[in-house]
Amino acid sequence: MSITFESEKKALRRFLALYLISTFFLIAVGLAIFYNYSFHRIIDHQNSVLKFRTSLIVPMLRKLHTSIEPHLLYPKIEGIHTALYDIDKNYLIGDFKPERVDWHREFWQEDNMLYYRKNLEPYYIGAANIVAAMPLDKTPIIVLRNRIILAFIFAMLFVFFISRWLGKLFLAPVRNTFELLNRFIQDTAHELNTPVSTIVTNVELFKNLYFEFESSEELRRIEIASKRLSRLYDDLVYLQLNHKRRRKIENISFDKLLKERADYFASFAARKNIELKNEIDISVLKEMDREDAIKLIDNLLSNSVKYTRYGGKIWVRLKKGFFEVEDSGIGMDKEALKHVTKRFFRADESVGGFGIGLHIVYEIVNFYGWELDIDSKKEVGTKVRVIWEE
Amino acid sequence: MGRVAFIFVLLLECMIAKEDTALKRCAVCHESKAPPLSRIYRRYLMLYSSKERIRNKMVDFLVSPSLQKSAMPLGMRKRFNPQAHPAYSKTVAKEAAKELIEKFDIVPRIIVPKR
Repeated sequence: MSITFESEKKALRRFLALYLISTFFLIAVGLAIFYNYSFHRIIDHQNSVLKFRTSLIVPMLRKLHTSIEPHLLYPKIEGIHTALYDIDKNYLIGDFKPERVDWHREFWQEDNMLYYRKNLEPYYIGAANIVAAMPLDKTPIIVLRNRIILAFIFAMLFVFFISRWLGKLFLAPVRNTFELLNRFIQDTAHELNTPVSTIVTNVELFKNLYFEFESSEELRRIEIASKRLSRLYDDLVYLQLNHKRRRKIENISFDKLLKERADYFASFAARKNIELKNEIDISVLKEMDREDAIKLIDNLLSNSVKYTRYGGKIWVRLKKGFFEVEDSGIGMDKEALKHVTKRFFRADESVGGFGIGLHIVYEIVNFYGWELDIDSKKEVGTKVRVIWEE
Repeated sequence: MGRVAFIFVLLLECMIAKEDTALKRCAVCHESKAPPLSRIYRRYLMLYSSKERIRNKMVDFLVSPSLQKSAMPLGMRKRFNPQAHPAYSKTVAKEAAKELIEKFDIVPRIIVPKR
């Protein structure tokens, strides 16, 4: 299917991005709280180990206090360092001397070391305070951190797949609608082809056979109406086959083609008493597909004729670096201007059409890497300029 | 010259004698009928922790001995009757306390094993 639903996809992508970002923050905050809680649990556990090991020194100090040996050995506890202080916080002895002691706290942490301070009573060997230190075991913290990162990645992947699945689920009805619309247009185009071709051929034949009807107003109306139908059919087919069609890039005399198409549309303009002015002053050769060039010019001229009121004016200009079609038509407001190149968008529903003309123009301009500049003012007119590099 | 040398030796002897005097005076009783000085020091150490506080408590007791000021356990207080302890001047008491702390301090005797 050639018809896409870009705006719906864009809206859905925005919604999913918002969903993913908010979920990302929620999961991140949740995991951060969990990490903080678990981190403190690890530290608490290591602190309790330090506290337990420190408590083992008390009976050893008692033994020292009562010993009558001339030389005594300072008690050593496996895995920790200890330092003893008297009641006035003077350092007595120890297997290390801390640089700083936080006398107001029981536990503290400094430079990857856990510290524990305990009051001793009675004061064996005069020690009223003991400060113990143990290196912080980082392994469980690293394991915790890795697990949290993994959990975060898995959670985000899960959320991502869920969001994709949700996206497809929500997009399914839109997709179905577009497929139905696409099929309808395809079928309509197919059904239009035979009767339109028959009418156009027979009008030509009728004019050749019966010369007296050549200037007939009724026949001219039939001819114009059938040409409009024929062009509509061409547009629908172009849209349908745009991505499958093979373009034949050649040197095209753009000024000649523009004059030719302007002459062709002159009859339509004349029906509404619209003055179509050509300001084609220069010769321009463009390397492009002929059908693309015709579609580009025809759609712009057709729109101008369609949306210009009785007695209005249309200017077709070809200048250095651009060509433009300007009209004194009904114009558009700024909001409509934003969506005017979207497929099936119609700024004014009072006039017939499918809303594909400017979309085709937009696609062609994009294909050749040119620029499309649309300027419009409600009730004043519209100017569409196709800008290319010389 | 001989006189100067004699006076110097006399002064030196006096100083040495003064250093030993305070604790020696205590040792007279505390080696026989009173609790040993090492045990007294450890008792003070266990109760008061810092040398400054121990010194103050000892001086306080030695200047005016009483049952309340004694740091010894109740059983020992009853047995050795601290009221009967002789009182000393503040200077002598300070000197005795200082000597006692220096002589019986435990911490300098403790060896910290190297890692």
